[in-house]
Amino acid sequence: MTRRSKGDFLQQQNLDSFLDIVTNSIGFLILVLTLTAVSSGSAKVNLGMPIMMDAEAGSEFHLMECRDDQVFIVEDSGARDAMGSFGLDAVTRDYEAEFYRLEFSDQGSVVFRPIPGRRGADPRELTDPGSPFQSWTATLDPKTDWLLFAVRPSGFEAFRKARAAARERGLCGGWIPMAEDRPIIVNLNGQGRTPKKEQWVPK
Amino acid sequence: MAQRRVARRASVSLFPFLSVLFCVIGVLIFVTTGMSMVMLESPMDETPLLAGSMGDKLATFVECDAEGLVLHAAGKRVNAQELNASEATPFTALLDELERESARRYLVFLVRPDGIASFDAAFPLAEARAIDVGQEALLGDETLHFQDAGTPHQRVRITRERRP
Repeated sequence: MTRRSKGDFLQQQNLDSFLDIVTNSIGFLILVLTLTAVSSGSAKVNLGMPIMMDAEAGSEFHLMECRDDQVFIVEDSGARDAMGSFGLDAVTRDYEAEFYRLEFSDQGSVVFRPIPGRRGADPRELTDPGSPFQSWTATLDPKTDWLLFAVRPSGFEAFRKARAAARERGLCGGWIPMAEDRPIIVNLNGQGRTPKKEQWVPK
Repeated sequence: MAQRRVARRASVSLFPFLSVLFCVIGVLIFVTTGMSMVMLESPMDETPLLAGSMGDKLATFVECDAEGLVLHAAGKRVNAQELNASEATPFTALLDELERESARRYLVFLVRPDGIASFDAAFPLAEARAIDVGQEALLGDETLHFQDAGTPHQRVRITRERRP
């Protein structure tokens, strides 16, 4: 009986196909590694053209605040209703919205005081289709509505993300840098500085 | 007695070569996995681009930080105390220049989180002039790179240092 040695067995096998597979796998891994290295370098984000213009006649801004790396809707529907009915109901002096307590003055201004403990939207959630921000912006008309961001030093990064999310929905925005402790005051009688809208032209 | 000759064929064993290849695959998988994990854990490094023109108009960038203003076109700095004084400063000189050339230049404030007080002092001065004004938010760890040396009002690239 003849006994086949291991050497004979190896000599009978053709390893070319197997080597092809192995070398192709290495090539693929090198490709993945290169792509990973390139994509980890940087991602370009176009900030657009930062120029502030007067808003079109008849357009309406919606106030938002970026603070503590969160985004807050200052003028939600409840707050807007309360502001709209101010003067009609002399008894109502304060109103508590979702994130702010509204303090009305006789001079026709309203101060928005943040309610402690209320958390705003995480900027990473803003682009989620089911997020409250997306649901809210879906009710706005990009032709007539625009967003005005009051941006605190702790909210610069959140502002950039919120603005990008708004732009994806076709909404323009304006922004006002505000010191951390400066209150948000809106004049209901139209007095004071008119906020300007950012003209954004993607390049 | 005739000695039987055994035919010998030259053979190459590919097993050492295969071992090297498998080692290379292992190392590559390890490196790729490591890089992917690092990428997932750290936030994306962004390179925002800031446009520097509007039609035929060119932007002139002024940076607002904790110390005051940085006039990039002139390469000068104006501190916060100078801004609040009513004297002529390089910033007011720049506003004069922009007002003269308002048809082809406009001003853009680049505001750092710690530069809001400087912005509040400088913005009314610019708003009072017959010039177009823009503003953009800069993060504290972002660095400005002007693309054309000598013409800093052309276009600026902003890079962000990788956070730990």
